[in-house]
Amino acid sequence: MTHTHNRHLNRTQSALCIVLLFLCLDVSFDNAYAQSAKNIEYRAKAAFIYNFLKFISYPESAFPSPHSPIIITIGSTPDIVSAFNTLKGKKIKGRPLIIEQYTTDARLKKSHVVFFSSEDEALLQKALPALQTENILTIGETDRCKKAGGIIHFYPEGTRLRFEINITAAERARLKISSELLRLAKITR
Amino acid sequence: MITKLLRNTSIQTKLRIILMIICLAVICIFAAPVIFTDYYNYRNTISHALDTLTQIVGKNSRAALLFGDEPAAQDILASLKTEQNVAYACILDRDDTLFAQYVKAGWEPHAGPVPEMGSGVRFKKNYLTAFHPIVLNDETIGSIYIKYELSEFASRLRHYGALTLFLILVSCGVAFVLSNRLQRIITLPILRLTDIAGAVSQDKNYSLRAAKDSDDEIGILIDGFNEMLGQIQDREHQLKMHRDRLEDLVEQRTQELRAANEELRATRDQLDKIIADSIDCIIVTDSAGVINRANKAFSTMLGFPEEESIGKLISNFIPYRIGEYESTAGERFQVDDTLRKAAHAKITVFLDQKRSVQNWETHLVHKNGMVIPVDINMVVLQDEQQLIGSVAIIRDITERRKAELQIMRQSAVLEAINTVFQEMITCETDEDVARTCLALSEKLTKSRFGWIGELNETGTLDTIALSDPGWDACRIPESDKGRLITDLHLQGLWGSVLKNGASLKTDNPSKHPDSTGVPEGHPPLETFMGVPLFYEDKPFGLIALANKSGGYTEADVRDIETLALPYMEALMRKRTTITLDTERKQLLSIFDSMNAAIYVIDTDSYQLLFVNRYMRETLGIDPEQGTCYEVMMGFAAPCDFCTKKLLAEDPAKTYRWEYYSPALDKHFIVHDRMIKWSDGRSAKFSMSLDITDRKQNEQKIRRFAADLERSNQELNDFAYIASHDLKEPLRGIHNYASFLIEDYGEKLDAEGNRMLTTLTTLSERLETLIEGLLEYSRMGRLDLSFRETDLNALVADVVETLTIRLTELGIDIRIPHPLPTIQCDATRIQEVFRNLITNAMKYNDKNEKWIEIGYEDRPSLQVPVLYVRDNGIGIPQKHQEAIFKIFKRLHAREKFGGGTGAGLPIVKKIIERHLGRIWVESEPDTGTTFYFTLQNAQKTTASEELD
Repeated sequence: MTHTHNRHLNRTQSALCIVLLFLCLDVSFDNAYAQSAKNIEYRAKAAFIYNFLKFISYPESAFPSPHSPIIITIGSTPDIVSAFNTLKGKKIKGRPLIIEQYTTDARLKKSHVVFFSSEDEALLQKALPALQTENILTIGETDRCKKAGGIIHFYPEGTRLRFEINITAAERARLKISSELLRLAKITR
Repeated sequence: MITKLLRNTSIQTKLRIILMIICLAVICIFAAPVIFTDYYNYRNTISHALDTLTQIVGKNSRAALLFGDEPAAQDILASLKTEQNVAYACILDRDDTLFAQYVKAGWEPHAGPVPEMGSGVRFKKNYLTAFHPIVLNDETIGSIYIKYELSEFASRLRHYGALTLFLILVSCGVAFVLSNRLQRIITLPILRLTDIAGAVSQDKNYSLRAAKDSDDEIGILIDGFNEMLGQIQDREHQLKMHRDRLEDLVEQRTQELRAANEELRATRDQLDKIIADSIDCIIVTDSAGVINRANKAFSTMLGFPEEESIGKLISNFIPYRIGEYESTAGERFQVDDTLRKAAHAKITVFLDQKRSVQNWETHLVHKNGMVIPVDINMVVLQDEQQLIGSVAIIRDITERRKAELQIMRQSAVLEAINTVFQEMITCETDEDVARTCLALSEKLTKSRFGWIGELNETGTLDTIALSDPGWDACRIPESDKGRLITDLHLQGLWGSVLKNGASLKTDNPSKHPDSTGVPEGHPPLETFMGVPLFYEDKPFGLIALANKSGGYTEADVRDIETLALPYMEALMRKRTTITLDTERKQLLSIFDSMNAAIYVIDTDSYQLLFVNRYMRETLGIDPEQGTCYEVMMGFAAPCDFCTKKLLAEDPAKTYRWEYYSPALDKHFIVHDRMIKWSDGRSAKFSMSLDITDRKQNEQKIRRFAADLERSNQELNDFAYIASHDLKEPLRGIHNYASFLIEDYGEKLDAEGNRMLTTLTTLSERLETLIEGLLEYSRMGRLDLSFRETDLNALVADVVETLTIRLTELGIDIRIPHPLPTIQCDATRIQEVFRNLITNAMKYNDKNEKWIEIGYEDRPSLQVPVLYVRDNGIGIPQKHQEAIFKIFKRLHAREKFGGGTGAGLPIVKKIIERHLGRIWVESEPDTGTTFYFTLQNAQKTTASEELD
């Protein structure tokens, strides 16, 4: 009974969320709201990245201990920072998520996920080749990043946000990606 | 049901049907478990398979769901196409919104939202549903629902059904054919027997017999049947004979019944007559209590004709009008509507509970409004527990009630008497008794107030009890010092009661001819009654009562007249008691004031019943501390004196002894004796007089007596010695004087001879005097020897010695009656009589002389009073003392024959030695009587014994 009631409450809340989701997926939103639309877009991407981690397993050597955090490194663009801050405090398979802004290359190598946005791509791109052999999930949203060997690449398809996975790059990074995820992605080699 | 159905069919059909039913049952019993097991197995398999399928599809669609990839989810669901029976499948996201669905070709998609349900598989009418949440990393991200249609399942069931039906049909066919053949073994002989039985019963031909062709139970049945036929044949014959007799009997019984009915009718008529003529009211009600019959007595009693009472309830006759009623018995009572309701409820309950008898007393109202006390006896009429109605016998109990009221009145009077006497015992003063009498009278007669008056010596009246309202109203300012009014002059109504000595009552006092009106301040008189009081037939006063509402009745007057006697008795007894109590207190104060220890002991319990103040204060005896011997003697058991002497010996004896208490330095004389109480019990009364003073005086007296004795003795001795020793020289003087006369008389002249003669005469006289003195003193010293002495003999001896002189003088000795025999010293008493007789002889100058010797019994004296009486010259009053003094002479020496003057003193001395007394009664010239008593030793012994 209580359960039903909660569900019902959730439904009203979720109606709002759905609207929000459609909004966030609509990248060609009115220019007047470009700034906030950008923000919404990155929130969606941050959510995608969070979900990717559920289907991707790292080799044991990637973490010092079973409860070590998963470090996600991002650029310092305010929209991205605020979007990724929504992931703070969440956990994946018992590991807490830590969001870090890029500082040094050495620090970058200790990350588990690196997101190259279109804003700070130039800054990060020089670091990408060095990360390819590390157990790091590299994610990008530009063709340049894709060509440079990023593992996951976001791209829009109509109003939808899609992603493609470079299996070769993943194998090189020794990351195992669940077939469930792969089924949804556009596979490249 | 089957047995019922088969009951009337032929035995052939029965056997056939039985066999078919058995066959059918066997098939069903075999087929049912097989079908059911198969059904459940198949069902479980499907359900399990569907569950697994649902879970797999759900798991596969996790990522699609998570990333909102509907096409991917659609693809996954589309893979269900291979499962022909899946009619519909859908995936819901975490908000239960449809995310993706699959609909089998030719099927409608699921309309509306997916019904909410828990996870798992459920069987519906034509399909199976499976629902599962989709979980990723312990988080529910959506759910999957699959609908699986069961057409395959149904076709399988149909297949089984058809098979079973076919088997049943085949088996029944075979069973029918077989039973047709086999039943003949049993049915044929039975059918034959049936035919014969039919023939017997139709033709009444009991000579037919059935043929037997087997030895089984049917064979036995045929044998039994044949035997029975034989018996019936016999019985038939006998029955015919009986029947003829029975017809006669029936005719006779019918006659008897008719007679009984006649009798019954007569009885009923009689009963009806009894009811109608009964003196008691008899009414009959139906089961609701409504009267449907009432006899004449009822109509007569209540004045309602029978037709008016029919259809009414009994309770309709109960008085209900609110107010005061007076019943025919003279009883007054208040009525409200509860009386009728209560009666109605009572009757209803009685009828409901079907009690056998109910009896109660109530009142019924006459048509003219008069109320009659009645006794109702109600009996329920029932026929086999079915209530028909009731019969009530109603009896007018006016007379009984009157008697009861009379008894109640009498018992109230008796109770009042009782109260008065109780009050007499418990209350303090006679005024309390009077007040109680008044209060009781007021209560009994329901008077508002009243008073009791007593006639005083002046013929006016003093009130001795006045009820409070009366007193308050009658308070006179100047009489504040006393509570009651005194010295009322007889007047008005109460005055006439006293003057006439008869009771008086009036309901209108102011109009009464004797009325003098009421004093100022007196409450208005509405009604009045007065009853005179007498004590020992003398008028005492009266009781006056007033203001009973409704007026006084004759019965009131009678009651108070009845009570007047016990009132007076109680009042006077109380006065007597108070007087007695005062007297008792006075008596006790006498005891307390005595300088003596006085106590009374209960001789059964040895408890001290009474001790006086001397005991309590001087001797410190507390009677509460225990028994007499414990408190007074400190002993553990009663003293021997009480147990062995006082209680054991003569109860009338007084024990008296003296007792010296060293502790108190006091002498007591103790008197102990038994007292018999009026109730037969006994007590010891003891009085110990303090005689310390007397004792000391006695000792003083004893010392004086001893001194006196000694000086007396010395005096006696002196007298004896003196007289004895004087005789010797006197004798010499006398002798020598005689010698001188004889030898020298011639030489002396006449003068000398005369003088010598005088000398001898004087010396002779002196000798006589000395003899007398000697005799007198000897009397004081000699011991007396007492013995029984016959005074007759003694006096005769004395007279004998004096005979010659008596004869010479012509004196007559008279002894009027014999003298007593007493204890005395005979010699000395002889002396007494001789002296007294001699004296009587001497002093007599009459011509006819006599001396009387006798005795008198005087009531004041316990001993005879002896006397010697003469008719001589008498002794004047003034000399009557002197004559007992020694040597006292009244007359000249030679006159009346002379004498020494020692005679009477000696007599007195002898008598005194006998503890007696002598006195003289005399009148000059008429005579003299000497009286004397001899209180001898007997008296002394008796008084000694008292100690």
